[in-house]
Amino acid sequence: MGLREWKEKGYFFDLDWTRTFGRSIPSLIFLSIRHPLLVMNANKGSPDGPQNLRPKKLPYEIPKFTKDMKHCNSNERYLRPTFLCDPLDPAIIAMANKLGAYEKSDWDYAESVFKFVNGSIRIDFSSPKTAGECLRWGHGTCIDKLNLFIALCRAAGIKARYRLYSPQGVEALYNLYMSADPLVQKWVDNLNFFVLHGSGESLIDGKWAISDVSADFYHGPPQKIPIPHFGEDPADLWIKPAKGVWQPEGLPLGFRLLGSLPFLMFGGTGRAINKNIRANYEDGLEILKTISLEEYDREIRKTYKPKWHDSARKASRVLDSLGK
Amino acid sequence: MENINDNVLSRRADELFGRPREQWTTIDEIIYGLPSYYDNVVNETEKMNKMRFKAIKESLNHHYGKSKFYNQLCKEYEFRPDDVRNMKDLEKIPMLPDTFFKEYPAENPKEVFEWLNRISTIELGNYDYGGKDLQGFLRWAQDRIEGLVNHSSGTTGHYSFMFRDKVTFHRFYYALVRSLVEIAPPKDEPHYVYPGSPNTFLTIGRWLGEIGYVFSEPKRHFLTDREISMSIARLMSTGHAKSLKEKFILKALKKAMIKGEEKMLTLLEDLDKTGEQIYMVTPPFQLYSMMLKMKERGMKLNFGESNSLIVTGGGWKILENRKISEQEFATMVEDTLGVPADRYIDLYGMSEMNGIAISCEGRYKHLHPWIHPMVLDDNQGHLGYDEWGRFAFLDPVANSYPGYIITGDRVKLLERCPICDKPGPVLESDITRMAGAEAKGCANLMRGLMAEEFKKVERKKGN
Repeated sequence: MGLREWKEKGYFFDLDWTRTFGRSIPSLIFLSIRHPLLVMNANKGSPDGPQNLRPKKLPYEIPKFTKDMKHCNSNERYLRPTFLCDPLDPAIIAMANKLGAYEKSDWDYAESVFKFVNGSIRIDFSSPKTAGECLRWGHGTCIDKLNLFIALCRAAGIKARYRLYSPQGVEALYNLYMSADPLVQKWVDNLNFFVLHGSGESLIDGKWAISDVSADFYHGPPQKIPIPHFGEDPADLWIKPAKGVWQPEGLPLGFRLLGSLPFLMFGGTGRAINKNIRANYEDGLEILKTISLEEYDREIRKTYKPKWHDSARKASRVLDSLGK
Repeated sequence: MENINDNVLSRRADELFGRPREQWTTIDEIIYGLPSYYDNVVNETEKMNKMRFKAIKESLNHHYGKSKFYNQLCKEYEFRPDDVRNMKDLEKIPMLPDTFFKEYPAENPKEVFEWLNRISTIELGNYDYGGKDLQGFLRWAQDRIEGLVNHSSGTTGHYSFMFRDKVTFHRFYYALVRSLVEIAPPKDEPHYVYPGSPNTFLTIGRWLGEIGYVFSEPKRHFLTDREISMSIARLMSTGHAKSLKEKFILKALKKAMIKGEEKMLTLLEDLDKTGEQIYMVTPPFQLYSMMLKMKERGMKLNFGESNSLIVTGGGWKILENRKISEQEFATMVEDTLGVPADRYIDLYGMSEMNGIAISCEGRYKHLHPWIHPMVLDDNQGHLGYDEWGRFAFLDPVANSYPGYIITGDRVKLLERCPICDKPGPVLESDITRMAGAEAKGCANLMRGLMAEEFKKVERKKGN
């Protein structure tokens, strides 16, 4: 593999990554130095919170891989394996076949993948994983879930890529994720965005369809957020880019190592966030016992207007902009 | 109507908190000029609405013209005070979330001062505080602005600071004393009983301690004068002592409260014997604790005869496992202290608001007439009457900061009280926190300290 191919596959931390980390990591370092107690508490916090939300039993079955299973083995851009996203992993191929690869239309298949990843893979705050691990373990962060979505699309011959950005979420997401831990909250409050989020893009009928597989379906009801649809840009509803968007083919080498650091350094933060997510998930399950997903979504969309976290912090931003 | 200002407390409030008539604006006309805050005939709705509207407009011009921060915020919202032409336009006024007041950059006096300078509408002058601790800084700041400074419990790791300048402080305190006097006109000079410490900047203690100074020294009674510093307040709010020293502080505090309570019960007994009128202001949990002890000892007082007043405020969480309704509480007050339901009131207020809501006999909360209440939905859209939502208000009393605040409280506003004929809209008594909003109410932190005591007494009662 030549240098050009590595570059195309996004194996280097390029200017987009440097910008993203450059505008967010110094702030975290600064906060940690200035408020060492927050870091200490973040490490000790939520001892009863889970390290991850790996389900005891997977809510789906991964079929046994057989050599006759159809799959795409191309070295074309957006179809080939990239770091942490291997469409040739036997488990990925088997699952792609189960979900209707080469049987359904591209749109229908990609939508099935979207529903599977959103409905069956638990979102949590845990160390980076490959697409195959995410599938086998049944949980992951937005990026892990995105790896899986993209790998399943590519396995079926549908070109897919990452859509990465520093996000700003609606107030409900802020309350769910960011306010779980004072360190993260302070960091996000300072930045007015979170460091990284990923949505997926799949090329169907010549158009890149944007979809977001990060928040599982049970997330929406307790937070009064609509259920995401395939081909629907989440920026219109619940999470939007605060800064520039870039669309790499893959993740950089070293992403796993770098992405694992926060979990080693701020263990309590992860547990606190996971505890919140778990409680929200359980609330979602309860709500969805009384109303179907479709019915809930139909109802909530009649009145829903995204309340961006930004608007709640307008006064703080104005004050910051005035300087000392 | 009878002149309610012809008594020792009103005269003292005038001396301490009065403002020269030539400096009065519309809000002063309401606070100092109205003969009554709660009289339906005097405060005819239309006239009151006009006065409140005018006061809010004046306050808006004041903050827009003098606060660089608020002026910029208005520009961000593309709003000018001239945009407010009628009552409906009040909804356009840019508001601040109550959490904004805890966004100081660091717990360092200089940085808090600089932050304060930026959000303040008044000039604070030069920073010449030489110390390093925040408690000393608050004392310094209070002297500097000749007003009232208080902080929240710091439960979430951050305190919320409120700085009232002399103008705001005087208006607010005059109004508080006037409200007490109007509800229970004093016979001579009543005794003021606050079962807490006035020696603190913690909101409830600071407010209730300060109001005690309207009463002459022999007539004011506090549970303890032990200082509740910021660090102690935070320690109490978390309840987790990390060192031996902290454990000792918590233990000593608890002991002082139990001892102080005994002292209070003896005091109440003595005052009852001599037929003295009392104004007792207390967090519900504190009064509950005392009433439990009274019941246990078969002690029954008769403060109803002296036209005494019992006031609770500061959060309704009393027991972890059982909710006590205000009605049930009122019955208990009558059974133990002999004060009838119409002389027992519960207050609703918050550190950012220069006004309070007092409960009537139907337990509905009546707001001071200068507060413009609003109820917001999840997207900050305005809901009407009879709907549950987030409480927000416009407060024209605030002179040193823009008093246009969105709170974390969940309320329902009714256009009129279904029970009594006091004027204005009322709040349902069942006020809770919105989902996602952090727990509030500094009374709660002392309640935590006494939780074990409650359990003991409850067990004895066999509940």
